[in-house]
Amino acid sequence: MVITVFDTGKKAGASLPDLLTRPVAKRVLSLMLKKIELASADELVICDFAGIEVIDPSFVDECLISLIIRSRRQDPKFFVMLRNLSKIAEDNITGVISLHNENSKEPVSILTEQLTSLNEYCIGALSRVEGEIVSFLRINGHASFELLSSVFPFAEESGIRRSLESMYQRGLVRKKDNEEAGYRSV
Amino acid sequence: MEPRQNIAVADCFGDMFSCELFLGQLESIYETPSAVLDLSAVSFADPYSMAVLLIAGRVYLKKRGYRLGVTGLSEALALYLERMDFFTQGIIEPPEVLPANRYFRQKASRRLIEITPIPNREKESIKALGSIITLFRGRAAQIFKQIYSPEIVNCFVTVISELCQNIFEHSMDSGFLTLQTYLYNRDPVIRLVIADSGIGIEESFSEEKRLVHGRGADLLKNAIIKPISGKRPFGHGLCRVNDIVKELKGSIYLRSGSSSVAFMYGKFRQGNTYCFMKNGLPFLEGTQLSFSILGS
Repeated sequence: MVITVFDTGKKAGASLPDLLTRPVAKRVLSLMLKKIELASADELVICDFAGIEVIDPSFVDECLISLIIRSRRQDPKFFVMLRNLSKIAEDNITGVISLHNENSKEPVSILTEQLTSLNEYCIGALSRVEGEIVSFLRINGHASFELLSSVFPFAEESGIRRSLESMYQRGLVRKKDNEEAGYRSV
Repeated sequence: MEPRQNIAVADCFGDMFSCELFLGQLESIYETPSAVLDLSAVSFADPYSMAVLLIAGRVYLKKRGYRLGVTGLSEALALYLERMDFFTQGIIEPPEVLPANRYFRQKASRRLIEITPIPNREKESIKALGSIITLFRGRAAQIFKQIYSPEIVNCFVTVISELCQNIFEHSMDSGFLTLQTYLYNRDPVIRLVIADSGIGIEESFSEEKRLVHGRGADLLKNAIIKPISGKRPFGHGLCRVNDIVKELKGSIYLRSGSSSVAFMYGKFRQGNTYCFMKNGLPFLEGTQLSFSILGS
């Protein structure tokens, strides 16, 4: 499912090409969630920001952070990915997510379709290994648990299992049928 | 109405720091019926000082029921204040005589944003913000000149948006925005000012939160460097504004009530940060913020 954020912003009365303020963010989020109601379980929701210049920190906090948290808690779960972020949008999202993660008990992270300026496919709370797993799955599409264990050796097998399960819960990887069959890229 | 009483003002409107001299006179100005500020000694008024004059004028109007007057303006200063829409705000009584050529606005003078009211109602404020951003984007090439880039424009859009939102979200009153490029100590400066006459930052935090985040200048400093908010668990706006001013090697000055804090990035040696905090300043209602970078 692709949400064209420019069109959604237009319906929400945003002063395009920018997405500014909390009230606008609430309206945009509401329209997004309405569309996401039609998503199937484990669906990938791509938020396409083509044509959008500035997304201010208030908008990021009110819309994107809320969307990320909702994607984990909602049943059925869905996955979120961002596409076509402008530089300032990426910088503002990165800044807000970093501050959020430093101060919240529920750190967040979000996938990006394009590489970020930090050469990652993700913005947010990821360890170095987790970032490499995301990149590995993005390039290879999917991998069995055995392959992931051999490429990313952990001190104990339970370590990688916990990491992968945590990444799944945070919406960063998908499971292939079952855990033993492996994981795939979102 | 009582006979007008002139109060002389020194040439102290060059920047945020010298403006404190004027703020020291506020108490006696408020107590003076039919006060008229004699600005004959004033050669220049920077955007921050203009905003402070309007805030003081608004408080005087609320206390007295009539407007604070000004007199003795030089032709240059009168033209400049007119150009910035200072008198059209309806807060300061304009002088009886204004320069004859005051309606002529040169194309070259688009290196600014005129004083623009920011309402304290959410819907109107968002509409005002949209107009400001559109105007700013339209003039950005002239405002930034050689340092122009889409990135710097977007940085300023972020700053303008976040600071204007603080007015209708936290101040419980309305405010003003203005921007000007000019020479300051021979350096070209781009100065953005947003000011309100609301409850001030300290009042917008509950007593419990003040115990955690501090009072006075400590609270102002924490408001800039930490994601704190009076209304919610976190507020990221000022932090992001601080990040941007750091990236652009500019400075940020925040004054609220009787306290102020200033951060200056890259002003002296490369990479150094200078933070100045003050308490016990003359009280001024609301919150005033100046965001400055070196221009071209």
